Amino acid sequence: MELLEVKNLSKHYKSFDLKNISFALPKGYIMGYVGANGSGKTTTLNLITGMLKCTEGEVYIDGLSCGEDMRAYKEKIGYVGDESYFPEHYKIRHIRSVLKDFYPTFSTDRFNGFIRKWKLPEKKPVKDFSRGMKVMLMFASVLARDTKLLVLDEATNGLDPVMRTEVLKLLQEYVMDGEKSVIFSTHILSDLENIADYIYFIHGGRTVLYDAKDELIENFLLVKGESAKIPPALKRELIGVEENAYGFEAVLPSDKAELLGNAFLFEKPTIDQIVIHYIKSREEQ
Amino acid sequence: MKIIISNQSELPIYAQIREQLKEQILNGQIPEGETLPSIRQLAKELGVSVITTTRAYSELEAEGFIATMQGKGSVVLSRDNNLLREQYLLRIEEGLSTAIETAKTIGMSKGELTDIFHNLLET
Amino acid sequence: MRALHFMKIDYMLTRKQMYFMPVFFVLAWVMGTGVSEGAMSLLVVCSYTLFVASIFSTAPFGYCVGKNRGFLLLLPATVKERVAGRFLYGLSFVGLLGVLCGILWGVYAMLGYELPLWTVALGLCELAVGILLMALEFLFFYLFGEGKENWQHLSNIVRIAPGMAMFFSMCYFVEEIDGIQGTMAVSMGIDPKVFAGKFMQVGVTAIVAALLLTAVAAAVCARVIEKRDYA
Repeated sequence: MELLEVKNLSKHYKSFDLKNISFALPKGYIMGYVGANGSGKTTTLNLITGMLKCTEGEVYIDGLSCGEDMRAYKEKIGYVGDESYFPEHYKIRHIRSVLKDFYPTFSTDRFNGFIRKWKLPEKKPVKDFSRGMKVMLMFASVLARDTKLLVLDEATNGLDPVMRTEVLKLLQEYVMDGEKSVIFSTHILSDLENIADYIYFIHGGRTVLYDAKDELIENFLLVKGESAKIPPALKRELIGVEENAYGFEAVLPSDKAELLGNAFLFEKPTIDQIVIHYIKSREEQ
Repeated sequence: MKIIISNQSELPIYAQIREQLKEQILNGQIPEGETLPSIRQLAKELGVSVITTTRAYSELEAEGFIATMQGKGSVVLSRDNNLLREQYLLRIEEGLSTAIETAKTIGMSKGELTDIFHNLLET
Repeated sequence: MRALHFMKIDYMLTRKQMYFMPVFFVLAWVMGTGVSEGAMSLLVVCSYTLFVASIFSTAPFGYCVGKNRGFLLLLPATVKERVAGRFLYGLSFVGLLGVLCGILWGVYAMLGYELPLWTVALGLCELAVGILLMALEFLFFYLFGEGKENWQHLSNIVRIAPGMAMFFSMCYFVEEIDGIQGTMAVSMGIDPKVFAGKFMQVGVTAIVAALLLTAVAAAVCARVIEKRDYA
């Protein structure tokens, strides 16, 4: 069963185009939406949450589109952004009151539980919160009600390692019952890489790679060696050759491994390495 | 049951989980009939993707180490199960062939090698 | 219902300025009694209060700008409900100050001041103008500046200028109005008392018209905003 279906999503701007983004995220899974800054990650996520109106295409959450029943659609989504989206002058009690007014499934007890657990200050306005506190307040407001999809836009940027680990656990707990899914965008995967089931990689508003993460890692090799030794047949297949004074590093599709012979070192790449070399190859074109 | 994931390992994570579980089933640390944690539970505990643990379990299942039953979870199968015996055989053969290969490289005779084998069996 | 919840959101946003409103009201009264006395001073108090109202009713626009609007945009509600909530805030805010003025009229009446009916009517007209100013400013904000971050300076002119014009013209008007009223009545050949009765009808009509126009403005805003991104 698909929880999130994105079909041919496009958004046209004067200076930037997001083109034909399509994917399906099944229930109970986590997708990493990866790309450099300005590649269209936020645009895509804002189209999913309905904050932006798409030029073309459709988004379905749990089979429901925004146009059919906007209220029900928005109730299914929990969104956490890279910056606080609360009115700056609000204190926790104001946010609690708004959540209670608007979301039928909001649980004050659950909310207060998070506030206590993460030691968020009740007396201060949101603008005086630290960055980490703002992020955790967003998580508290989202997790204190029933949602189907978490949409996280660079939410863990600027969190310290302890809090990142906490968020990671939260996300895995969230998908635990196999009914809910998470999509998060990021420009650095690092610790988030492990928990992602699917990776969608965009560059310049276009899809570059989209696959289950384990497949992706198996489909590529990280190759290192002396630049002078690269035969032309191999050169054609290498992606994003990064040269330095002593050698090169590049990514190669695993099915071309026989071209390597014994002259080169190769190893299992990380998603970040695949992404970096792909971006390099795109920019050379 | 213990599993240690290394990001430095050349083995993919699903294979690390598979191998370590296999090891512990074979040496009896995880006894027959024991229910393994659910795919999602394990993914959460290890901080890895659900697809990764799903793959580890399904490969263990294909190799006959565990059986997954709807609603009951994954159970470790008995070790005198034929498939499992085959696994053991395979490992024994592997171990012995490494020994034979090593013996060949220093030109050891068949007699010498079997002597070592018999001596080791008796100790 | 959701519109009322949005109104509540706006009151929570602007809660700090609510504390200052009584201060402004006292200030208005001091100014009014300085310029004139009796019913005339009350008209000045009203015009000053509504001048203040038209400035501060737009405050929610200034409080939710840029990224800080996300929370409100994500709420499960329609654009119509959100815009309606904002207009309800504006109306109730102006209305609240109108009620304060009304109370002051009552107090003056009890103290035995002579308050001709036509001054009451004129007070109502002022309230109608106050509502209309609010609606126009909201329209302007929604059409051009909603959520924009670098909009404060221009928006201040929009907020202050019309109310200011209204206030000063009222101060001037108060000096002359008795005469104007009399000559108008005489020139039209009507008994001043009858004329005052007509005045009252004009006042009520003005309020009703202002409310209707506000509703139209709200509908126009919702229609325009609905098609936008981040709405």
